[in-house]
Amino acid sequence: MIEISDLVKFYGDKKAVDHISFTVNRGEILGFLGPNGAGKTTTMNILTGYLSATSGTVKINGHDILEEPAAAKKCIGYLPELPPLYLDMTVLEYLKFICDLKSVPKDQRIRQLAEIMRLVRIADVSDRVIHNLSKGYKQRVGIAQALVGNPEVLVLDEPTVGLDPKQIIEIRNLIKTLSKNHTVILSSHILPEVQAVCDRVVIINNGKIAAIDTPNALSHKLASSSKLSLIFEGPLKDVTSKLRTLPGIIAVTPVIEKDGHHQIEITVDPKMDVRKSVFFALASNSWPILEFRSMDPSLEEIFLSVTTNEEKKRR
Amino acid sequence: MLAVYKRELLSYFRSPVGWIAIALYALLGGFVFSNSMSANSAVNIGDELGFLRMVFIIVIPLITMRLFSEEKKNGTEVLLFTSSVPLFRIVLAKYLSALTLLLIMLSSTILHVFVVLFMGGLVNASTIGSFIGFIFLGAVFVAIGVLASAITENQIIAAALSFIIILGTQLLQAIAVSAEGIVVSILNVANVFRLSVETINKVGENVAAGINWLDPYTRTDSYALGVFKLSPLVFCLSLVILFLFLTYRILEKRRWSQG
Repeated sequence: MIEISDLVKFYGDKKAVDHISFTVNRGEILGFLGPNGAGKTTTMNILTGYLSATSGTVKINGHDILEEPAAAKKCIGYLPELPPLYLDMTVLEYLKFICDLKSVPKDQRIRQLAEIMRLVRIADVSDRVIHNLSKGYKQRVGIAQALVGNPEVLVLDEPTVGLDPKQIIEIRNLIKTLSKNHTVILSSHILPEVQAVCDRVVIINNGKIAAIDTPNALSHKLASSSKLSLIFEGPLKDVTSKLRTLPGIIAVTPVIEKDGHHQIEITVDPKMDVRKSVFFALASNSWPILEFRSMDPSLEEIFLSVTTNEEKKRR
Repeated sequence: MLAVYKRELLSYFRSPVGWIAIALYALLGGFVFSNSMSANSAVNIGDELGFLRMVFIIVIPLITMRLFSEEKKNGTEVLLFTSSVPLFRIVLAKYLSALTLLLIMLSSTILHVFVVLFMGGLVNASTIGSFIGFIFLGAVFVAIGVLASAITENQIIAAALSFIIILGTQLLQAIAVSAEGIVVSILNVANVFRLSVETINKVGENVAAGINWLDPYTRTDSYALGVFKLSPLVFCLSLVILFLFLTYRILEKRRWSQG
């Protein structure tokens, strides 16, 4: 569906995108994960035809974005980082303009717009001027814009940034619904988001691809650094020395003490499940556990892990 | 392309810009008209239009400044450039929308023509010629404004830029005269080529003629006399194409830019 090969983009001396190649299959949701400034937006801008690459090719549905721009662009709906909205128009006027721009046939227009507005739930604001809408609504109008013309590929640049948690969940569900009929590329710097919706993840750092894999495989790779966080009431020294004797626990580090509660971080061997033994160790001594959870690996940890793994392989 | 044109033209009337431009032009036009009517008891529409050229200096930057700069600033540029509409059509659509607003603006002067006719005044080939020449000038200046707006994402800078260029063309005749003087006096003082006085004067004249050649006002003057020559049309059309082409290249370059 989408073939990106050997893409390079220079900004002055800086290589914003450094020999990136990957393909996206039909009906897939591909997550594009990386810290700010990693080259996500630049790559998306290139593959939608907004920017031109220094070298390399992008093919959408077999159409080269440079050689057959009109055919390639017809297949793409793009939501840039900043939703491209004309603030002086009402939602309906704006979407009608997008229909004109994408030359949606007149007879399909009303049906299609109604469908889209139902899907992204903006029907209730259709007569309001976009300028007066909340950030969440603006974002949804932006997504609606990308859906007009029913393109096969959706490119969404940080679709949930700046939204409140409820809206984030709504948008994620929406993306999942959309993936039934569309191929989706979405970028994010939030790991759980990508894990929640994507079939495959491309991790990009400093313009280079650090890893391409399924979210599960990536977390599996990460398992070597799994950590647990524990808050309990009781004597810190006794607890830590007790825990250190348990099999499977590599390290115990105190984090903070507050009101007689201690928080510690336990680094464990990923091959063993130590949660039960930790529980019984504390329970048998009547040290109450107040909170016990596994810690989500941060994006930084993923990078460290992925990049160090790569380096190890090279050696 | 029609979509962009329509949106652009309508957006003039969603914001105060379109209304202000029309009102400003109608006000100044009406002022000039009524003034010359009370002073001379007869009005030459050609003279009125000649005076109203001054209004271009303010009105055209006003209506062109946001065309591309605002799109870039609001991020809506992405929408247009990733649509399947080719870039040159987008440039053309924006240009035509501003030109249309200009024509709507000028329609208030047509009202003056009717007043003149009603009062038994003279409306002849020279009046129509003045109108055509006026529209040609406007068309060139709108193209300059479009170019200025593509250069920067700051509307004020875009307006200032087109203001300066349009003002510059108004002063072109004066510039030609002083350039002639400067060239002649420099050659007289530092006569390295050992030229005769006649040759020096000739050089000066040619410099002035060269600058005047560029002047769209003197170019379209013949129309105001009722002489419909092809050359002003070709000249103005070429300028419009040149400026729109430059606009296109600037926008295209931005895509490829590595800076």
